[in-house]
Amino acid sequence: MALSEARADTFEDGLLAMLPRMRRFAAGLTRNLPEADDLCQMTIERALRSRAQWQAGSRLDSWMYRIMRNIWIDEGRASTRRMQTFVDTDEGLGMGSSGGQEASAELNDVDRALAKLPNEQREAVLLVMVEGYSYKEAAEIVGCPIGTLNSRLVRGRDALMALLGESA
Amino acid sequence: MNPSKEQIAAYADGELEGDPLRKVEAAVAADPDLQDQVDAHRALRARLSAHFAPVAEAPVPERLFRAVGSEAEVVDFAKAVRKRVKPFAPRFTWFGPALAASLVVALVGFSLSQSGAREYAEGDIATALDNQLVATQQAQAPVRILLSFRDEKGRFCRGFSSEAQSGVACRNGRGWQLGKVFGGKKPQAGEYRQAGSAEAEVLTAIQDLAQGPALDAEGERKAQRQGWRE
Repeated sequence: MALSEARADTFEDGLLAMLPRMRRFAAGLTRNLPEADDLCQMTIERALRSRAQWQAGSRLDSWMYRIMRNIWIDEGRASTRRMQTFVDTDEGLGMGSSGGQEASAELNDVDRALAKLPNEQREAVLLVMVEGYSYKEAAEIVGCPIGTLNSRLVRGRDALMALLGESA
Repeated sequence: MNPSKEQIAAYADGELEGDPLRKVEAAVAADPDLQDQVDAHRALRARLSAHFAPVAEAPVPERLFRAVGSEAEVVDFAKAVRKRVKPFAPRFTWFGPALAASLVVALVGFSLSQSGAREYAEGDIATALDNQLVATQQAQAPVRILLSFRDEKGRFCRGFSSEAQSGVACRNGRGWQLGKVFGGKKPQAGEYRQAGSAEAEVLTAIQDLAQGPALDAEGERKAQRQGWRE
């Protein structure tokens, strides 16, 4: 894939260009936009501190996603608890301004369904089906064998399809 | 062959090749129920992508731009720039984060050679100007679009940067007419010393041309749909 050979001209350049996608992945993990931005910020800070470990020429995006999901695993428990206590998960991503009634009703369905998945299934689903990574790339980001990724993905999808019903 | 759930999912995702691909393909073709499963996988993928698309298209909060800058030379730079351009600040406020981002990006690597040629963008640059959206472009794209805006004639203009060339281009009937053009992004020693003047060039180019706010993600999509014509 040509992407893996290309690289941003500078580290900061690469980070800046990646911000919209990072927010999307973070929003999927946290299911809450303010918390997604906190996660992005922590990810950026850790990436800057660890930049010596990034090999110029390798894919910056996979490296950033790996950092992000590791922080989410490390810090996720506390914040998940906080979120379940104080935030109504029915509010979803809070992207309310876009779309009418029907659109926002659907947003909430997907959010609610994703919220019911175990973390490992949700991240597999997000990496492959939203972020568009191949199984191999997603497995590298998560740090598991491809077969494991594949089966988490299938379980996550089955659960989502069941939760979302025929409309999926 | 009786494909497993994993194989069906992998097939729907385009992950299979060679012998397994041919076998699953044949099984799916022979069994409408399997075909339904494949369709359901693809429908779910489309629904999830659509669900999260607005997040990637929404404006990025300023604090994340600042976070990228906080420990890098670039940022001191960008901060210094912001301070120095204060006198013109009112004209820039409506650019918001888009400009903040483009500034940092623009400042990272412009070399200062500026050619006076007023021609049309070609090749990769023209393709990127036509097709790439700020919100969705790849981090590693060889040509990067910095931001889009309208000039005083109502033409759509876009700031871009690439290895070969960076600058501003505006769409007219013939193509993307190059306005201010700078050299490519070639970070080099001594660049920082001259940064004040590089940054001034970029700011001035946009400041002189822009009429109204930078396009947001939706505005860019619309403009693209109408072929970047007023």
